[in-house]
Amino acid sequence: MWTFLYQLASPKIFYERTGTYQIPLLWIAISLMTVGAIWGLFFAPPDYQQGDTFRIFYIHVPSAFLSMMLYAYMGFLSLLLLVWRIKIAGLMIPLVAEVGAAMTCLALLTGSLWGKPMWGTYWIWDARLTSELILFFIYLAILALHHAYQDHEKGDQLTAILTLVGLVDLPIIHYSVYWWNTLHQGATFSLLSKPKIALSMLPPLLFIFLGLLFFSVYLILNHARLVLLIRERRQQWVKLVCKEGK
Amino acid sequence: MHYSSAVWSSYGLFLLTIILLFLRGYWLRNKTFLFLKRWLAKA
Repeated sequence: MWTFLYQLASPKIFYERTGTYQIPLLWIAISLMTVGAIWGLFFAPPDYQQGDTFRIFYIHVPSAFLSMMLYAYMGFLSLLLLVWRIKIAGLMIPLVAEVGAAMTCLALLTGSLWGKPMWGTYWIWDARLTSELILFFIYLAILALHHAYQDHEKGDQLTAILTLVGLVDLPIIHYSVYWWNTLHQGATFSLLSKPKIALSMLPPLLFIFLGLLFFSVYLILNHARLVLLIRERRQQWVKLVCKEGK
Repeated sequence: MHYSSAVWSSYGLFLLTIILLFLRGYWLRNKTFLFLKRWLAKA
């Protein structure tokens, strides 16, 4: 296991190994998301209070969960770069941030669409909504900071530091519904207790969440491999890859 | 299926996000290989 991970720190091995997983990951992701979306739209039972509007849950919750999960992963990558000097980790931080920003945007928009029929407003400066909006701005700040530097090593390091600073927003998002009086409902899932949702409503959520997760991994690997090629373009193996066009 | 426009808009946004992210990956791939081929031709 550790040998495999150490080997992945080498750009050439990372490029070769990840190439084999890309297409299967994409197909698994598309299949899971298609099944989840069709199940969520047409086969899951309606909620007894919210009716069919509840079906937004199947898009909103996985995207919101992923927006936080991807940020936590960026925090882990930042530690890998700053403590263990693994360069591929630094390269991946802005790539994960792009996908994370898209997920945060999707969570905010679907939440807003859900808010109008349930709360009577698209937006309110509620603790959960505001802290999630701040997460979106942090993602944008990380992307802007990274693109501001032509020296990518310095850019990677400063991005990693900003990422670690922004980590403070994650517990605020998670506990916002407990610390303040909010319109947003409390957590449906927790590690230590049963889910507060009927089991017949659960499968589409799992399908879409796993689908989005696999799709995010596919996007990040695809982008990482391309950035790696540009950064390592003076190496012989990159010239061979370009000739073969793989 | 007489769902509200909010439901259809949410699923539409979901689909749009997936398509845009996928197309961006595809565009980046073409752009990268074009750049590398030009750079290697110059080098």
